[in-house]
Parts: sequence; structure tokens; C-alpha cells
Amino acid sequence: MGQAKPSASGIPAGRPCALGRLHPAVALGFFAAAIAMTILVQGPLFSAVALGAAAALYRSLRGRGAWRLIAAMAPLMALLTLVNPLFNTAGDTVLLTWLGHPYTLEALAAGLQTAAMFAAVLLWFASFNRVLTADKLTYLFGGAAPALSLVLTMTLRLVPTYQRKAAQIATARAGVGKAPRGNGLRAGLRHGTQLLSALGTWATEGAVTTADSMASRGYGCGPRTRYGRYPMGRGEGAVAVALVVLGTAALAAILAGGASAQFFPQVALAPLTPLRALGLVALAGFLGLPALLDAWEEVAWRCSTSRI
Amino acid sequence: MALLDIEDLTFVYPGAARPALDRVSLHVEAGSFLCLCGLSGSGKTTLLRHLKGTLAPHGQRSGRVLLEGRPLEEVSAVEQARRIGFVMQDPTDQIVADRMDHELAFGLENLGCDPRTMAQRVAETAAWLGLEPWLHWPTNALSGGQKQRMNLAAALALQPALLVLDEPASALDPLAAADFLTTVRKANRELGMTVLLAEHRLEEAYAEADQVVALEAGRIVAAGTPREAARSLRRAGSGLVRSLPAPLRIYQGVEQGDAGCASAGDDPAVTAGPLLPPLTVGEGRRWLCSYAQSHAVARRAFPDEPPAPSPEAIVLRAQDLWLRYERDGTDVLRGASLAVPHGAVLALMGGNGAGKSTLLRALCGLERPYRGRIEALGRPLRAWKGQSLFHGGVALLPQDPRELFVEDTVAAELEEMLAGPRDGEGASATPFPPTERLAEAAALCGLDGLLDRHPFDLSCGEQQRVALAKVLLLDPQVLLLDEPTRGLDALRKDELAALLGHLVARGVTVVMASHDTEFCAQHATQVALLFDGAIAAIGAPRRFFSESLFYAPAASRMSRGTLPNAITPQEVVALCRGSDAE
Repeated sequence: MGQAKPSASGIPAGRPCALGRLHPAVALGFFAAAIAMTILVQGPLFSAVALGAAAALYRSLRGRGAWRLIAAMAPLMALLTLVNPLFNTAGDTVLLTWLGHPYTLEALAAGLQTAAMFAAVLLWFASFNRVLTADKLTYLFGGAAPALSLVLTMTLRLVPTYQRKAAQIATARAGVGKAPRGNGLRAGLRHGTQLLSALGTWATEGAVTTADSMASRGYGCGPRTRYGRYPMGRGEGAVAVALVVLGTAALAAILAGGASAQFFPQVALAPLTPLRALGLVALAGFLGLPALLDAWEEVAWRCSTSRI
Repeated sequence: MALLDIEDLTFVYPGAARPALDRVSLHVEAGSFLCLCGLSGSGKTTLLRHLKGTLAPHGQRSGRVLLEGRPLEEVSAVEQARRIGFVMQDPTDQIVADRMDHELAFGLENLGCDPRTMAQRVAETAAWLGLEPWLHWPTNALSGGQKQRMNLAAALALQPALLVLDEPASALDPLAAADFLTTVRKANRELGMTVLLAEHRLEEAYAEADQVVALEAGRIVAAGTPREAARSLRRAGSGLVRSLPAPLRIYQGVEQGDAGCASAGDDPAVTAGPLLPPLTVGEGRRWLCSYAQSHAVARRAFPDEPPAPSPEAIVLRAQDLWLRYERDGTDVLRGASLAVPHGAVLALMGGNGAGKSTLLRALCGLERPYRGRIEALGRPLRAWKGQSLFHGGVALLPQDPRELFVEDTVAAELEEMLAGPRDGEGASATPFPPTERLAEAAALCGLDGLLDRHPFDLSCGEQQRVALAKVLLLDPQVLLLDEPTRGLDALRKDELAALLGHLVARGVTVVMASHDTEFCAQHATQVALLFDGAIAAIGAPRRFFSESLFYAPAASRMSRGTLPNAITPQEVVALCRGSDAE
């Protein structure tokens, strides 16, 4: 229930952030490149940088609340790592034999690599949701596909609305002794089905009203225009340029093979060639810049408040 | 030429036996404020929806709707969208965008407005309505009152000629509702906005309107200025009289009496009295003072209610409750203590966000205080295992009764409640076989004709009766009600009161959170004020309301100084007429 109330800090969902101040197109480009690079890079150092940067950005966007999601990545990664050798039996170092299949160290290492990539991508998406709010997405795609972007906005708004409604219905029903009884699967399933059917009725009712409200304000009458202004100052311009330069360098180094790694038949750590070093620095710079700017701002803010 | 003319509009829904609108004609001049009143189901919404081509219901229709002399069918959709603003009842479902500024811009975007004009319109609308602090907020995070102000702003941003509002305040609590109506009135007075407002709760809207039109079963039964309309309603013996503002009802009761219907038009007090019939509490005070000088008024004090019963009869006891929702948040309850005696009807009053709903939920274990003790029916809350508390013990009826509905028919909703507790659970044994209990609850709540209907297709009052019937099938000894009168018209409130009276007579104890001072003054046996997370005052309603100014019903505010401690319109009327009727 309490989540509905915005915290004392003002706007519920928005901490000031460097990425959020950039033009939505730049932010979109950043996330597209960051996710692509995270998927492309291999090797412990590169993956660690990607995962670290993803976690750092999410932390700077969410504040203390970020730790819950970040901490949840650990068991997920452990699971993915441990499961990988069950399906991938390549590799020379056999740790144990499982139903006649070898369980190898190399597959374990490759699993960890995949798990880190997976966790980092999840965190990038979590940050993406925070920065590219529905209004920005609508702004970006509103020109090309107005109907689509509106549907997107409305869908994004409905998810939290229904979550809250579901919680309200569950509470209301608990108040007449209809809380899910016991932990049994059947009880849980029955409770869930009822909740879903009730939510469905709400959704239909609500959708009719929403459609009326849209029609009465002229939706579908003719060509739409877009609301929203995202002017970029010189500082924002500089950040955008830095992102483009660092991103291009990192991508070039990665595509030139600077971030490849070998797991099979044996794990071989590649030597730190100039190309790899350049790739690593550029990647760290690119992925880490938004979080770094936020941290810098935080420090500057602390300094300036200490003088008040 | 009026801004809006409705000429002989008759409308029949497909398959309906009688018309939903029957030869309705009305004229709205530019700049006027017209209040369309009527009980639930009288055809208000059907009429308003005919004012907008895209919203008009399907059915058989005759008559014309003219906007500035042009039939509405000839006015283009774009022009209709721009010139007629529409605000509906549900604050949440009307919202399209995820942020307030985008919601305000939505209509402008649809009409192809250029970005510069759009920014200006959004800015000036938000500033005028005082919405700036929330401009960048997600719409989900706003309160009901804020949402409805935003919906009003979204309509005003298009700079319409006519603003149509369909019961916009009925889902809001009285404070937010009054605030909303004040804003509408301001738009009418300061911006010259023509307003057509449908309402069944007339306390605020009625006195504000320039013109009142009353609908009953799709027909106009009274029209004119608020005073004229009130007189015609009285003369016609309409049920709407019960909904009029308390000062008017008292005036009518005193000046015209029960037999006054026939001769009201000739009554010298009406036609030539020194003061006009009062619409507001202030006018009511002046009128009552002058009436008391010229008439024999019984200035007798009503006795206080009997003192609280002995402590053994306490069915629900909360001691020193502290509760917060977020670790770093503020406390919602700060040492709240409450003892509810058996057979009481305790009204829990307090401002928005004072924690009334939270306290109710805590009393039945749905919220967990981090400090404090709660005892229900003599046992600590922890001792009630599983769902046992809710079977024959305590039950909570939520603010929105629809939250309880999961089935497709009313009958299925009731049957669902008969799946009783497991062996050993429950505070009392089931008194009757299931089918008899179901029939009894349905009859008690007046659901006989509704059993095959879908619960979401029912009216607000009917939905609440279904929810109450569901709760009663649990055979509760303590009934917790969260804002039971919200959205109900005067007639439905009387029905609810009768039902509660019946339950209390059967030994049920009622605790209700409410903003409705008049309902509480008439039906509560105890009133508690929740403030700053604790019970700031508690007492019998007569003492509580006659000592309070801000939480007093209109009748009490109007009569204090003249009459000692009358708190209901009936009491004021009885004293003024000098009769000894209680």
C-alpha cells in the first residue's frame, strides 16, 4: 500500500541523473550500445567491467533501493554457472562425472561468463526503464508510429496500476477471510485465478472509460503532434560527444577481436595486448561515464551543501 | 441563442421497456453554471453523454441537441473535442498518460497543436489550477483529488466553451470533493466557463449553481434557480428533497411543515418573508435567528446519550498502536488506542490520510503495527489462527465494494462465502444451513431481483449491498466499514442506515471510518476523532458534534447559538415547530 505515496524527496520515480538530462535519443543510443557491447565482450576482465558498470549505474539511479536487485543477481548467476556444465560437456578438466556425463571446469567458467553477461543485461534494462520513461519513448517514437507509442505508454502505465489493484483486491478479500489458505499449490492456484478474473473485470471496465476519455479529447481526429522538450546545453553536448568517442573506440576494439576469450578445450587468459588494453579502457570509460558523472555531481552537491 | 439547447430529447436503450430520457428540454446560456441533479439511475449520465457525439449511447432517439444553434451531428469531431470538455466520475480510468504534464497535453496533441502553443497552454492551465508541484509526477502516484483536478485541467487546457462534468466528485472524500467543486465554480466565475454539472450529492454543488434541473426517471421534474427548484421539488413530493442541502431541508420542514406541500406556493413566508430560503449554513443561521425571534421555539437541550458500558463488554480493544509502511517513512499510527463496546456504532472521523483506513485494517490484522496490542472478542489478535477471526468474528467491508467481487453473478458471489472455515476454525458455529443463510442475507440486503446479474453491472448502492451481504454471510460480531456512504445518494444512505440498525439490533458491533458528519450524527452511538495517528477525542455524538465546529454536521453549525445541542435536521425542525417529538 505504501508504495503509492511518494517519498519526501519529491518526484517518486526520478533521481536527477546525467543520462536523464540528455536528449532521449542519446540515452537510447547509450543503452543500445551498452547492451550490445555487454553481449559481445568475453573474458573475465571485460565482463567484470560490464557487470560493474551496469550495477554502478543502477545504483546511482535507484539509490539504496538498488541493492535488492543487485543482490538478487548473485544467486541467479550462481544458478546459471552451476547449470551450464550439465548441458555443455566440453573441456579437459573433469571435476566429476554426472550420470556418465563429465562436469568440467571449463564449462563452469563459460557458464560464469554467460551468467555475468546475463546479469549485466538485466541491470542495463532495469536502468533503461528508469531513464527512458514512457514519456521519452513516446517522444522518440511518437513521430514515426503515433498509435504504437501511445499503446506503449498506456501499457507501461497499466502494469503498476494493476499491480496496485491486485494488492488492493487481495487485501480486501483477506478482510473477509479469503486470504490464500495454507501454502498448498492448489490453494494458491485457486486464489490466483480468482484474483486474475477479478482483475480482468476491472481492466475491461477501466478500458471502456479510458477509451471514452480519449475519444472525448479528440483522439483519432487527425494528425497528432508531440509534446515534450528536451533541450541540451553545452555540458550535455560535451557528455554526448564523450560518449560517442568512447563508444566508438570501445566498439572498434571489440569488433577487432580485442575482447575475445577462449574457454575450450582449456581456459586460456589472453595477454594484455595494446588492442585489449585500449578496448578495456574505452569500454570502462563508456559504460562507466554516466555513473561517474552522477557520483561527481553527488560529491559537488555535498560540497556545496556543506557551505550553506 | 443559447450556447447549448436540448429540444425534446427522448432516448430508449435497446430492449428497455421505458425511455431513459423522456422529452428532456433545456437551455444553457453561455457563462452559466447548471447543476443537473437526480438520484442514481435517473438518467443524468445518459443525458450528458448525448452532448458529445463520440460518447452518445446507442438506442432509439428523437429530439435535437444544438451547440450554438447548430445540430451536434453537423459539428465536426475536432470541433466537438475542442469546444466540449468532459470529465467523468472515475478519477483513475480517465487517465491516458503516465505523467501529469503529458496528460494535460494529450488533447492538444490530438488536435495537432504546435509545440509552442502546447507548452504555453499546459503551463498556464497547470499554474491556474495550482498543479505545478505535481507536474512531473507519475499519474499513478497522485491522490484521487489530485487526479480529478488533473482531469479537469486536461479538459480546460483545450479551452472549451462548455464543460460537462458527470458526477466528478462522487468518488472523492468530502474535503477533496468540496475542493474540486470550488475549482469548478472558480472556472465558471473567473474564466466564464459554461458548466453543466451532474451530481446526486448536493450539499456543495446545489448552492453554487445558477440554475438547477432535477431529473427523475428520465423526466425533468423541476427547473429554475436553486430556490425555485427546491420549492417545486417539495411541491411535487419528490424523493430528491432528502438530498437538498440541510439548511434548505430545515427551512422547508419548519416553514412548510409536512402538510405544506399543497399550499407552499401561497405561503407568505416563502413569497414575502424577510429572508429568502437559506442555501448555505451562513444564510441558514441568519434565517434561524430571525425565525427564533418571531416564533415560539423550544430552546430545550437534548439529553446526553447514556454513559459508556462497563469494560467487560468491550469487543475490540487496541492499545498504543504504532504503525508505518516504509522503514524510513513517517508513522501513520502514533500510539492509537481504542476500545469498542459491544453493540456500539462507532464512527471514526478525521482528515484525509489521518490513518482511518489503516486503523481499520490493523484492527482485523491486515496491517501489522510494530508496537501495541489488539484484542478482538477477548482474545489477542495473534491467538486467532489462520482465517478463524473472519468466520463469525470480525469482518471488514472495503471502501470500494467492487474489490470483493470475483464471480460472474451475484448468486455466485454469495455462494463463494459459504465455503466455510475448516474444522476447529471460526469464532462461532454456523447457525443455519447454508441455503437458508444465503436466502436470509439476500433478503436482508434487498438483493432478491439481482441474483443473476453481474456484480459490476449494478449501481453503486446495489454493489455495496452485495458486498454487505457477502460480509454478513460470515456472521460477524464486529463489522468494520470503510467509508460506507461514499458515492451513495440520500435514499441509498437511508437504506444503509436501516440495514445497520437491523444488524445492531441483532447484536452486531459496527466501527465505521467516515467523513459523512450528517450520517454519523444520525446513526453513530460514539464518535472518535483520529488525528496525528492517535485518537484525539472520543465521545457520544451529541457532545462531540455540538462541541466541534469543523467536524459538525450542517444542522449543528446552523443552529448553535439559537438551539443548545440539536445535531440533526429533524431535531432542529422539531424544536422550531415547538413539538416534543424526538
